[in-house]
Amino acid sequence: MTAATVRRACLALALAGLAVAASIAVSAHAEQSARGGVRAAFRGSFAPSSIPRHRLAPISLTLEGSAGSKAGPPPRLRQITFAFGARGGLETAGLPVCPRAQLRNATSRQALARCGDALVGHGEITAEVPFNPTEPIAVEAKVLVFNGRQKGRPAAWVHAYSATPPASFLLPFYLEHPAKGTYGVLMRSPVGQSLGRWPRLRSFRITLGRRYRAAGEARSYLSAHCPLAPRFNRLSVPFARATYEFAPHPTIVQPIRRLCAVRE
Amino acid sequence: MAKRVAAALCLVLVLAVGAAAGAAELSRAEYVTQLEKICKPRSLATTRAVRGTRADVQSERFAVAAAKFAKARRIFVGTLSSIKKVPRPAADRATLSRWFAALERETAYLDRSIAALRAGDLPRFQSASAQFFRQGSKSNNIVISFEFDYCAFKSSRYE
Repeated sequence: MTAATVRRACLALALAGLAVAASIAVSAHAEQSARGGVRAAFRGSFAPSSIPRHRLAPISLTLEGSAGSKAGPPPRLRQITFAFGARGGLETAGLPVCPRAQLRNATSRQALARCGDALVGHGEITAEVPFNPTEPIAVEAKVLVFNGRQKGRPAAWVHAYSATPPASFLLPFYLEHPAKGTYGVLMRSPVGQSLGRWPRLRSFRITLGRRYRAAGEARSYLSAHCPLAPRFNRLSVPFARATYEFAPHPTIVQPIRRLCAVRE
Repeated sequence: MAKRVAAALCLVLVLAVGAAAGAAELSRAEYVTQLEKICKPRSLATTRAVRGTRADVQSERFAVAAAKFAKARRIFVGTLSSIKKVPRPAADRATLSRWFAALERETAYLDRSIAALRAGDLPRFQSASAQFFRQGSKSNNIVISFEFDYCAFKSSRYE
């Protein structure tokens, strides 16, 4: 191999690296909003990046967000709602259900041992406990998401556990299928009730998705399609929306758009 | 006579400097209030102008969608021209310059989207519209601390 060939190969690698870095920078771009001194960011992605035009296909969905304020810890979050996906994009039939009580005060290992077959997601959460506002206690917790049911309706139990400092909490997300509107799935959690007075949610990253078999059929917890007109193969479309309701105020609504690419 | 003219000129100069200093003293909150007053009716007009464009594009009514986007563009450019004239708080001038540059880029991507729609050039429209929405979000992030409402780019207006 000549020196020129090596140089060309290095240049090609460097350019490829730049292209990858640029694509990561674009996908990592977060939409932000601020109101009443409170700032909230939201971003999301799904995999695979291209999906069929007409038929629903299994996907995994990653939702990330953060909250903060100009000074001091983030304010207390009363409720958080995510909206995403297509109608029919959430399937829980035949998926094992984890009773909520099984997850209370459990470590991640215990939660998995008790409800592993109902696992539908994972991630991380960071929270602050401002007992002393100048030196808030930071909690970085691992998150496991389990399929649940509440009054006959689908729910997702977000179980968070931190070994140091020891903390375990459960955020219930109640799932709805709105009949109208842009999105097919709503996930609502009364975070304030679940976390209590002190912990403040700083950031989260949750990936949802699970393929399973039920009644002899392959199924997916989440599915999506890219219903573009026949002449389009990729288009920026509404992808998800986060609504952060802080106590006592403000409420910040952050919709995000992502590229929908058709896989023929 | 010459002394009187000189005195009058000095007075005019002092008043002009005073007025300029007064304008420079505009606080961020005052600036935001002034801009929001300008943006509010135009933002609502934009929402009305582009209503149904997503369905138009999906149904391949490209000329209709292009006309709606062109109307939105006229409102956008008019708004930009009006808000540029508002004196900027001294401490925020650099940030606001970056914001206005970002808004100009938004206009350019909107122009490209409209031209592509008119030409029926779908690959170009797909790329330009994605850049337009991404740029809108980038513009917002520059002035996030200003907490604009109507002056912020909202992708949901274009649905």
